[in-house]
Parts: sequence; C-alpha cells; structure tokens
Amino acid sequence: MNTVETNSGREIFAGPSRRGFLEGIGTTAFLLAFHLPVGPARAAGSPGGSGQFNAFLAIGEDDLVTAIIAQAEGGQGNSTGMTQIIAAELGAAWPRMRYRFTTERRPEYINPMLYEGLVLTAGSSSIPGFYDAMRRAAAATREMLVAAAAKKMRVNPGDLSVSESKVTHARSGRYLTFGQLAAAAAREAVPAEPRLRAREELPLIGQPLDRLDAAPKVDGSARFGLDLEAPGMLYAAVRHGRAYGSTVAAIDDAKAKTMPGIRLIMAVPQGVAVVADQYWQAVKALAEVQETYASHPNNDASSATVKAALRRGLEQPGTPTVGSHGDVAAGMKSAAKMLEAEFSMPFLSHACMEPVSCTARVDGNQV
Amino acid sequence: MKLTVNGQERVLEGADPDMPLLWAIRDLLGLKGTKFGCGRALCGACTVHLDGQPVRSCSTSLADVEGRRVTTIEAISGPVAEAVKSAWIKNNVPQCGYCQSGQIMTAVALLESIPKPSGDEVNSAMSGNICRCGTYPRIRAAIADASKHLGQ
Repeated sequence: MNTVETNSGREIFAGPSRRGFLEGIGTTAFLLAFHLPVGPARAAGSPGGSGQFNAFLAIGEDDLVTAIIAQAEGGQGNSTGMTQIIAAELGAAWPRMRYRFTTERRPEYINPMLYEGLVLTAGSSSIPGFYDAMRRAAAATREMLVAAAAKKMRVNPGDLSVSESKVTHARSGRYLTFGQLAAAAAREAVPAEPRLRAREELPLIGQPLDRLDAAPKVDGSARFGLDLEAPGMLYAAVRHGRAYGSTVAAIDDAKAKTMPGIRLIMAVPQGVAVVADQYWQAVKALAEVQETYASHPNNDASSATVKAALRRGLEQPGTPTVGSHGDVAAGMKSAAKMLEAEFSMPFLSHACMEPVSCTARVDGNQV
Repeated sequence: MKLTVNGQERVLEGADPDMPLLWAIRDLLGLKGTKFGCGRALCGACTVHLDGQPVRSCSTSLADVEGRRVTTIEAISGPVAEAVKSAWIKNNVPQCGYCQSGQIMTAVALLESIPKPSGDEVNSAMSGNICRCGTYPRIRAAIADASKHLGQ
C-alpha cells in the first residue's frame, strides 16, 4: 500500500526518469524470452531467403523482406512493431514483410537503452532502443537497392523512388522489385550515412496494424521456451526452500531414486532437483524427496521484516539518489508549499502464465 | 494404454496411468500447442476436449482417458472452430499467447453448446481461463464475432 505523509507545506514530485527506471530494474526483472518460433512467424509464404544485408534485415529473391529481431516477444507486439520500422524506412509492401527471431550475439543487438554489453529484452525498450538502428539499417539497404537499380536501368539514382517493395523510375514508369535487385544490391557499398526518410515519408509508422504473431498463437504452432525439445533431452523438476538463500542440509531420496526414469537427484542453489527422462517422472519423484534446509536468517523473513530492512537501508548515510530533476534544493527553498510523500510497494511477482524454464545444452564441460 | 488423439488411435506403451494427460500430449506425443501453466487446474492453459467437452489436461490422468477421444488445439476443426480462430486473428486477441490455446478450446466448446451465449454465459464459461496479459475484452469481442458469424 502506498503511504502519503504530509508534514509541511511544500509539494514534491519525483517521478522516476525513464533512464532511472531502466537502470533500476536489475538484470532479471522484465527479462523476457517467451515466444521463440523457429521460422518466420507469418504462416503464409516462404522465408525471406538468405539475402541478409545487415543485422536487422534480409531480402529474398522471392521479394519477401525479413526483419531480424534479437528481442523476445513478451506479448507487447514488438515483433510486429520492429518489422513495421524496417518496412517503413525501406519502402517495403507490408504484406511482403516477415520476421524472425535470432539468438545470435552481435554488438548491433545490444540495446543502447539498457546495460552495456548485454543482449536482453527489458523495460519496454525494444522499439525506442532499436528504432534508430533499424531505420539506419533499412535506409542503408534502400540506398543499396537504389544504386543497383540505377545501374540496371541506366538511370540517375536521384530519379528513383522506393515504395511497395519496388524501386521505380517515375519518368519512364519502369520499376524493379526488391527480389529482382536483392543479389546485385548486396554487392553495393554499404553507405556510412544513409539518408533517413522524413516523417511524412513514413506513412506506415503510427498505423495500428494487425499483429504478425496472431496466427501461430491461435493454431498452437507458436513455440515458447518451455516447448523446446532436443534429442536426448532430460527434464528437471526443481523445488526451492521457502527462504531466499536457502541451503539444503540433507536429502532423503531413498524412494525417489528407485522410481522410473530417474537419472539424478541433487542439491541445487536454494533447493533440490530431480532429473529424469520425462518431466512427469521428475515431478512424481520430487514429491517423494524429503530435504532439510540449514537454518538461514531469511527463514523468518516476512513483509514486515523486508520493509524494516529496506527502511534501515534508506537511512544509511550515503544512500544514493536514484533520480533527480532540476535544482531540487533550490526548489525546496523557494516553494510556497511542500508536501512529502512516501511510496512503498509490496513484493510483486509477475506471475506470468508460462512457468520459468531454462534449457541448456551440455557437451562435456561446455554449457 | 490406448486413446484417440486428434482422430488417430495412439498406443502409449508402458505409460504411467497416473501421468496427467497434459504430459502425455506434450512429451509422449510431441504436441506442444497445449500449454502447462499451473498444473492444478487453476489457469486453463492446458484445456483440451475430451469427447467434445473441455477438460484441464494437467489434472486428468491417463487412466481416466483410456479409450476416449481427445482433441487438442492443433486439430480442432469444424465451422465453430474455424469461426473462433478467424475471430481471434481478426480481433488480434493474443498478446504473449501462452493462454490462448486454452482460451480457444474453451470458447469453441462454449459455442458448440450455446451458439448465441449471453454476456453472463460467456463470462461464466470462460472464467476458468486466466490471461495475465489481460486480453479478456478482446476474447469477449472475438466470441461475439464468432457467434454472429455462425448465426449468419
């Protein structure tokens, strides 16, 4: 519950800055890896081909443009939105756009709004974080398509325009499609400073388009993290101790280890894990495992003790200020009225529908 | 252990009769469209049709479905299913999408039994299917659309 305490006549408003918010979320909160379709998520048509121009897009000889997305789709529609950015700047026909996710690690996929060096999806930053980079990538590709078209048509590049997945010479009415140009354009020099379209040249931006990920999520073909399967894959069921930081002191697995399909029963950080050939076997055996936990200060933790600990932390000298706008001290002095407010939030779980899961490939000592 | 899944008779040799239908569908038969949410019949993500009726596959044991007919999201068909799926796409219902297989299975069963449900009937039929993205208004709109389409 939020508390508001007013003790004098000054009003304080300290909304956290966007940047401050992003810095404050930590490395795990809002981190999404939900929807990982293997191929392009648009059901109809073939993939955009292998004609990858840069980190963000590929153009196939079949005229399909594939936006390449290194962000997870948590449901907010960023896969559609990021595809829209590419289509708008490039001049592609929307029905010929596709997208695919990538887990490739490239410096281009580091979101400039988030932590340096990490590829992650967090804090509603996919669109604002990649808007400029995707536009630059699409603009550079557009200029390469124009350069290739100018050579093929023997015309001045300045007389060509790009829209609806075509490069058109207006004066003669001739045009070449992206698919016809893709191979030649890929051999053109990559422009260092491509011209970005003006806002009025981007009619696709700001339009509420149908979601590209709706169909696979309606017919059951969309693949989520928990749906991943690999040959010979084993499944683990995990139980954590009730206190954060729990350590297992002893495990009684006498019955569990004799159960079908069980490969391994072990202590893991904060709890126990049963590894089996099938998930259900692991779950069933875990119910038969009895573990005891070492005593831990957090065993007695409650909302009240957490709140008290946070309050003690705030009262430490040198507690950093998370965000600040303008000259606060001067504002306080000159303000006619000051209100003080204290806001607190309980621990909140996102409680997303898909249970947290993780798949690891272990080859010898390599994970 | 024998059952019919999506029109095909499947034999699950040596399968544990205690195993929830969900894990047989997902892990033994490899049909991943049916989702594991809570494992306690509280969220509806695992909804499938058992002899045409919606059930929570996470809390239905294999022993209980021996010889019966199971339909999953991958194979749901017929005019009602097609109307529901089209309405879902037209209304851009899914966000993260994790609950949507279950939502659709429940909605199809509803319209199969009540072609023109009232608002209360929709709310009542769908109340066991949770969506953490909060797509409920679009789910209701899509059901209304599908119902209208089927009535034409």
